[in-house]
Amino acid sequence: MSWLGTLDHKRIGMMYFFTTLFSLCVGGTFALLLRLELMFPGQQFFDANTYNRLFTLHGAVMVFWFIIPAIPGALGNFLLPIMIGAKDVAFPRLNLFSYYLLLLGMSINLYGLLAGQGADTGWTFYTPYSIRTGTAVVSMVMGVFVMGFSSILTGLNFITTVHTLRCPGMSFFRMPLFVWAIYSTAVLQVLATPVIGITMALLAIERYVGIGFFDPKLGGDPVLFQHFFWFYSHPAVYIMILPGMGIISEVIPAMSRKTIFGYRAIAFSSLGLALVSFLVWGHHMFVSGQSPLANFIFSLITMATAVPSAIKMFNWTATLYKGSINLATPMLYALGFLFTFGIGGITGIILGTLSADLHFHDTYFVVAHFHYVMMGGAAIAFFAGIFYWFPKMTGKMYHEGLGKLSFWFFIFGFNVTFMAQFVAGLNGMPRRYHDYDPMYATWNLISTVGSWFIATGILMIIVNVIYSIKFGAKAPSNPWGAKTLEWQTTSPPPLENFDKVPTVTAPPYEYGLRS
Amino acid sequence: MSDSHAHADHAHHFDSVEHEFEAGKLGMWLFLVTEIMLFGVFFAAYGLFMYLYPEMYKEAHHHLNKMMGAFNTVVLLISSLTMALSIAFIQRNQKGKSMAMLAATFVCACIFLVVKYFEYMEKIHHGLLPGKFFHGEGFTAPNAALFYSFYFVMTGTHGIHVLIGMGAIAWIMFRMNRGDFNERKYGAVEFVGLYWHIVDLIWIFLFPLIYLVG
Amino acid sequence: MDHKHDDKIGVQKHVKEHHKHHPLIPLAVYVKTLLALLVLTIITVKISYVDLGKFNIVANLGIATLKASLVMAFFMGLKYDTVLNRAFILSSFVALTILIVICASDLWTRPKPEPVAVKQATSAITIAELPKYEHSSPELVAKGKELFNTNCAVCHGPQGNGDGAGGSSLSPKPRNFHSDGATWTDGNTVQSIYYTLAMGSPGTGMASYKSLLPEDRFALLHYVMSLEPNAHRVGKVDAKGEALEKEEVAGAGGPPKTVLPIDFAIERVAH
Repeated sequence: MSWLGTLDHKRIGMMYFFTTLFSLCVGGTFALLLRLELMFPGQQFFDANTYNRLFTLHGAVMVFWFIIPAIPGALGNFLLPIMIGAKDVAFPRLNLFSYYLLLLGMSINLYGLLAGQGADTGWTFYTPYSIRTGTAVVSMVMGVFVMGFSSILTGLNFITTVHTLRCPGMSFFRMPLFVWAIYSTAVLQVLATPVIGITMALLAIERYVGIGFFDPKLGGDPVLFQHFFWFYSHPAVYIMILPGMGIISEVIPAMSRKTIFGYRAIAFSSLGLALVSFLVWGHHMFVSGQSPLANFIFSLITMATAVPSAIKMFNWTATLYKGSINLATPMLYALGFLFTFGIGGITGIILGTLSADLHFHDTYFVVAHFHYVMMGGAAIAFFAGIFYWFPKMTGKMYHEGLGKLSFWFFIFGFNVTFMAQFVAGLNGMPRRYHDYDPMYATWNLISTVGSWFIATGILMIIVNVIYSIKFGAKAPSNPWGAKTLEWQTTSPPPLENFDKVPTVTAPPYEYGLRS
Repeated sequence: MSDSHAHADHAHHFDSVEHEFEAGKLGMWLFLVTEIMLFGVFFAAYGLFMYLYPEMYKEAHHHLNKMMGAFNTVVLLISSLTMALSIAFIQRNQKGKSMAMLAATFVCACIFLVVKYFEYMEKIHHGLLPGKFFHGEGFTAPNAALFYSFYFVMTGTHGIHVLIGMGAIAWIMFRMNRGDFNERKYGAVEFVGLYWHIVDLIWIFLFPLIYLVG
Repeated sequence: MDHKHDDKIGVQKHVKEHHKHHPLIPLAVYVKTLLALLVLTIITVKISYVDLGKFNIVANLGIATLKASLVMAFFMGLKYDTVLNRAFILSSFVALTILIVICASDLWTRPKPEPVAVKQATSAITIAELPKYEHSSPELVAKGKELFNTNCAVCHGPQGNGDGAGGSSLSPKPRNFHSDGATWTDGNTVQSIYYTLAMGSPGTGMASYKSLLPEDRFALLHYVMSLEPNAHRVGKVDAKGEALEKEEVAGAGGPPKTVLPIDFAIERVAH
């Protein structure tokens, strides 16, 4: 009960942790249902309308209930202050408020789901259909509006914390790379989220009042809706991946016992990725009726997004080289990330190529791409982070055997599920269809079977978390022998994080082996 | 003096009142960033359509009262002065004058809203309402309702922010009366002031773009 | 390192920074700022009475930007504040500029669609032939069924039960043609259904099908009428091709539209 009014960032982080795991289960259930329907051609269980609602809910829940809040909310909240030697975030009450806003937004969505069976527009709520459809659009978009505020306030809190609460000696270039990642994410949260917030509100007003900004019948422009939507939603995908990349930047040096290769390059590439993400949103709109000029601009700049990501991939790999590799569960997930995010990133560049996207848009190629970056990127990194910091956050060790097993189930299931979708997409299978031409049957069957392995893997993670919290062995302060500040205090840390305010005299990854 | 546990006038995770103040200011500026982005979306949509429908905008905006808009602009500018002075006075520990300036700001806000009320009533009277409620007469452009949709959404959202500002000012006045502030510790007054100036700033752009177009 | 010593360093650092970034600004500065703002307001209003074409909006925005800068610099104290606060607020204007400029590069540069020269097929119905179309026939019903499957089934359902997938989210729901014709809002006579096909049904999802030729619309309406369970019909023929007893059934939405729509009259005249 005392937790409900807590101002302790660590407890708020734990609340986010359990809430986002719950969200993962809800979104995952929708996914399993979708894949069950698509297992064979023809209708299995759901008619077209229900199918449309299912994929809308799957997308909205995964994006807004799970991925966007998870790493910043759960791991960021818990770790950021400790990593910079602070006692708390800058605005603890605002932090708790952010958490409750997330719950409120989820509840508004839940209302729409239970009372109105959700919306059937896709999580992108494109007009004019989202204006006309009789489904629960307003509940969905107002939930997004509220959750947007949660995200904004978290970002605001983190930026201020990094600028004002670093302990003595903690200069910017001595901060862990996870902090750089969370900081870059926070800048995106503050700058970009208001745009989707107000766009969602405008859509709700549109449905009631007919203001017409996005309605072609009234002189408005549906593509303008898409511009506003994606102006946020493209930076949003970097809100999703940057924290994940930050986790990888922590796990790899610690578990290779080696200084990170190219610290400054990774730090600046996080900022650079955040900045360039504002310039490319139209690559989601290549076939929406955008002018050829805009199409050209967006495709060209999209190519630039490869650079910061590639810098990181090279630097992580270089860190591994000649390192003393510890293949514990967090490292397995991190290595898995390198593989799956690599594929996801490269297929993103393929899609960013205007001429190719004209064929791939709205096919399963796109679906596979974004699952490779979101699930094979952000989610897998989140799992790496869960296992890596589990001892610190709970004071217990997780079960290593089950952890490793969960990884193998997940990585196998993930690649089976989504590689099959790349093939289907290359062959032209459209997305958001409740049925498909029998020529795609094999790939869909494979994909569905893969999804069961993913589910098993994730279930194992959850069981591991719950079991280990109760029955896990007591964790030492520093089970990995890592060098960042959170490992220099107890597991879990005391109320003000340290017995005495630390003074930092060295950069964060000073292991025996140099890069 | 340096034992942080003895200080009750700032939160435990800050070193001093000044430290807390600087953090609070940065936090408020970041919040104002979000307000700029929020209204920016309105301005973006409004401006983009202005290029596409110049005649419709010219025709529709004639029904707006420039003088009332200009008057409201002056009212808000004055309220920004009184708000800034309120902070200047508390910095000099002159609580009475600071309160008076806060009250003056509040009164300006009231005047602004009263004028807005009359403007809205006039619109309603002529059927110049947003979206599907629009039934204005004598318009040659087929989508004139779009302009009024913008008018009400933009000035309405701004008006809501004025109301919120009034609530915040009232809260600060209550706290100042209670003796919460002095020349060293006045962060909340400063931050409400920053918010209020943004409300003024939005109107500085709103007024010419909506009332003075063409 | 001594705990107390560290705290002291932190306190001193923050106090120093605070006073550097928040000096006591003379009151006169505030008053002068307001005067400048008022002058600029007067200028911007006066300019609005002069027609400078496109330059009006530039002048307006320019003056507004100047006013905003004064408010931010002096009332909000940015002139004396940290680089960081200035950088953040500037970043929001930069982000907005990006949004507006790139959206403009789309919305303002879309190629205007070329008027498409569509070869309109012209109706083959002559005035003399009209009665043939006004009465049902097996050929018309069969043709109507084909047209129905292509054009109407998506909302009205493959059997005309009003259960098509495309219509499930519409309100009101698409007409179930197997229902009692008396409940059909827009009427169920030849004329009414022709009218509905030509003009659509306002306030519903039923659009106008003017794009179909009149003979196609007649075929459709006869198919649709053949689905209606009750026998009271205008224009139905018996086995011998003789017109049945004419009985106007008032639609639920008002008196039957007994007059053919103007557009059809115009079409006939033009033809």
